[in-house]
Amino acid sequence: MAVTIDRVKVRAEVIFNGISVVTPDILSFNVRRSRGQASATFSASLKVPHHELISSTRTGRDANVIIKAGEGSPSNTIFTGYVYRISVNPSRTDSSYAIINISGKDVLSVLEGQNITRRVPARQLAKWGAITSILTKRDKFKERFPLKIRDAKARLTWDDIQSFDRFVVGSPDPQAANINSTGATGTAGRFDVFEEESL
Amino acid sequence: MANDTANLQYGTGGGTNATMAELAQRYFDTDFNATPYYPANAGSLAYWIITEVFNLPFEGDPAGDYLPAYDINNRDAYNMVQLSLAVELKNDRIYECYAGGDGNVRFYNIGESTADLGTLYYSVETTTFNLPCDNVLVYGYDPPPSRTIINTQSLFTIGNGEDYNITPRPDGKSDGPWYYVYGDMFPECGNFKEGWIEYNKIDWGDSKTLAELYDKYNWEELIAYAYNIQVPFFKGGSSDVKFMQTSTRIWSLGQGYAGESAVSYGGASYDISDAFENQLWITDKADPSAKCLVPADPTHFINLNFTDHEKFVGIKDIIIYGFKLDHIYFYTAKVDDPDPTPYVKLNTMIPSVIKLRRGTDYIVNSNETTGLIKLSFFCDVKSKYKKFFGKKNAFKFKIHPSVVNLNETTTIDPASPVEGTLKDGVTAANLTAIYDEGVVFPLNEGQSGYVIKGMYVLAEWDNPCIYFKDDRDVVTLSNLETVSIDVLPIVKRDPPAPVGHNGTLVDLTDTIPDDDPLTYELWNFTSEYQQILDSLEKGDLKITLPFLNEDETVEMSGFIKEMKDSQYNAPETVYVCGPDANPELGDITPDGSVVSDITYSYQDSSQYTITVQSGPAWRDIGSGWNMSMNMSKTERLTLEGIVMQAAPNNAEFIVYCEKLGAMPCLNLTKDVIANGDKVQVTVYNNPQGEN
Repeated sequence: MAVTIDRVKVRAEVIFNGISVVTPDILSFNVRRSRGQASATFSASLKVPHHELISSTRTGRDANVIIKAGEGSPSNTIFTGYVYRISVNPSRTDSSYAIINISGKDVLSVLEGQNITRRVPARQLAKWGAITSILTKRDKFKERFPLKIRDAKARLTWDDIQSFDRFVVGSPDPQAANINSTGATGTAGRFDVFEEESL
Repeated sequence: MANDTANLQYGTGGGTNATMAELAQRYFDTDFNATPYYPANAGSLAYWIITEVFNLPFEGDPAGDYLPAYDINNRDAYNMVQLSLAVELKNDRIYECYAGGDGNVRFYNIGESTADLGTLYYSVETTTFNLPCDNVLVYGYDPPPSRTIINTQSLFTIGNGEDYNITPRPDGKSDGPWYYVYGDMFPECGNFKEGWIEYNKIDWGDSKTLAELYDKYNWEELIAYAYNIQVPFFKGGSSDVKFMQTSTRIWSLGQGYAGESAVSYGGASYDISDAFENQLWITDKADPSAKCLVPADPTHFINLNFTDHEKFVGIKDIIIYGFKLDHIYFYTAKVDDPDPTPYVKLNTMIPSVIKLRRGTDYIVNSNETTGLIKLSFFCDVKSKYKKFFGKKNAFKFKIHPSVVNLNETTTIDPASPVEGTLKDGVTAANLTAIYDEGVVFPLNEGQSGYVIKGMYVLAEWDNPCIYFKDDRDVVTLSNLETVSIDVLPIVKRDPPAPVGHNGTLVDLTDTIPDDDPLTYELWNFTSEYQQILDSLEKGDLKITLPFLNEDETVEMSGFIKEMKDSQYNAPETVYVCGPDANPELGDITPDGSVVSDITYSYQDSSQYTITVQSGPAWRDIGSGWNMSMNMSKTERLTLEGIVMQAAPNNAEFIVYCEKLGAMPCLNLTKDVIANGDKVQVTVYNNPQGEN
């Protein structure tokens, strides 16, 4: 069987900090993405005119490299991300150009090293007190004098106590109903976690 | 620890109450959010992290779970994205998060779409050796312990029927409680100020008793008791209610109870209705030392039945129900009159309770033969007066005129009896009458004495009681019978996380010891769960997803096992494709596996190939997910407070606690608490901490 080589018109474009480099000035690039690796990585070697390199700009953390490639035209965007490393060398064949080698990762790389916090809020009134001993009984003599305790900011009213479930000491696990469908009150939806209790 | 104000400020109700800029000013992470932060709606956490926290462009299905109850505190962002997506495993789907070539982040449903490989140049099969997977263990949500009161028992009856609560029982009643009211036992005293309720002893460590209160195989543990105490006649400042470890039983020396005699007399059995006739040891020697001796005459003691019972603790007192003869004069008309007439000075003939002096009037010894407690009574009386004491119908006396208040209306007539009242103003007295009121217990060598209407032994009995005292004379039988005390056992329930194993739920209760000292664990019959753990090896999987319920752990373990099994024999192929290929991670390749790696390679300004590596759909996912259980830190504070309001059940109170103000408190003591009492309170910041 004769082996033939079909010629395919490959066109590629690397847009880097506003500089568009197209075939044949793209010497090489390599993009790799794998399962289990959060960010795809790339490396490229480009031939860039000196003056464009000097005037290139970028803004903030916007993605600053886009790689496109395809048959006949760079129709398929295969990478969008950030340049993390760059090196510039003179072109030995054309002094008006520089050869730059760039590498980086895609947009998910911003998650690297970043931690997040999403605390489960404690339910209000989860605190409870237990009377463990009597220090002084209020005797007959003291009873002649009215109790003069006034609390303008009571944590709980008598009506609140009356509304308690008498067979629950303190507060139940606020998430149990949402997590454990086999629990006694497991009819609540999973996402009712942050709804306030009507205490 | 955060206070209430902080909680409210940052939106426990959902949504963000502070802007990012405000949060950045208050906290120390100015780029991406690492502050206590709650998404506005409870959707996918992964989606929230990508779009809200990192503000990345997103496209596609916002899969993933909210991870309720998962307390994310300074955790790696991408790891949390993975965890959120991993919950989709319970729906038999594998989602992974990557950015597409266009810079949009997507959640890829692995194995859903067919790979677009374009022009395929080469395909080469490769292989990876995978260890077989025998066990997939998935741990779910481990709920924090909760405290509940699941079973209420009456304190008065819970101990009935226990083996250690056996006869004798007072008043013929087979079961407790037993009510004692002074006013009923000694009716002429009218003393309704004191009484007590005896109930059977409860062994809180006895497995039989505890089995009624909680179920250890339901992961329950008894940690404390509260008491619902209902004393309808209770009035603060007047009523006093105490819980005592032992109770007092009153045994009459005149009669037994429950058909059994409480006493028996030295060797022979008597009808003891006449108290201790013939039992009083009377000497004619004024020798105090004689009182300390054990009587040589074996008939001079009284055996107390039941005093060898294990519940008998000791003799507290011996009391006489009667009245005192303050002074006795033996009047004789002539010297050596063999039949003198006793004249007595006394204030009243209304009986009252008189306590005898231990060691002076009686001593307590044990009978070496029977083991019973025996009583011996003493007194010194001249021989010629001995016949008056300790015998029925022996002491017939006249009232001394000096103690009688004559009736003003009475006409003094030598032919008529002189009548009046004693100093109590109630007891009628007749100076000419001869009184025979009962057996007399002599004192002071017969110069005074007690007329015995009844005689009782007060024994300390190893049953607890509740003692009532109230100056309003309301401690009556009918009132005591309205008292109810319920034991509210506070049970901590702490079930472990459910464990799914290869699609089934592992029964963890067989790891609980049975508390039977006669059994032991056999290695070949150990628990199913232990056997699974023992067989874990490389290739098996053990993961914790602390937000799954039982059903979800079962489903997920089954799905993962299935995926792991398929991985064992999954084909792996490398495809080399032309520029027209457009594969995505997770797409299905022609060999049935999925795309696991894509390499776009452009060389020499002209050559461009796309290499696709395929492999099994399952790949090991993240780890360390068991670190963020929602478990609040527990604080415990001991404060003093004053009771402001009390619920009628004596269990719930509002206590004004120092530093904290008014707050609800539960009574864990057995004391009856009233408004105004100063109490010590232990405050817990959440219900989940250890007791």
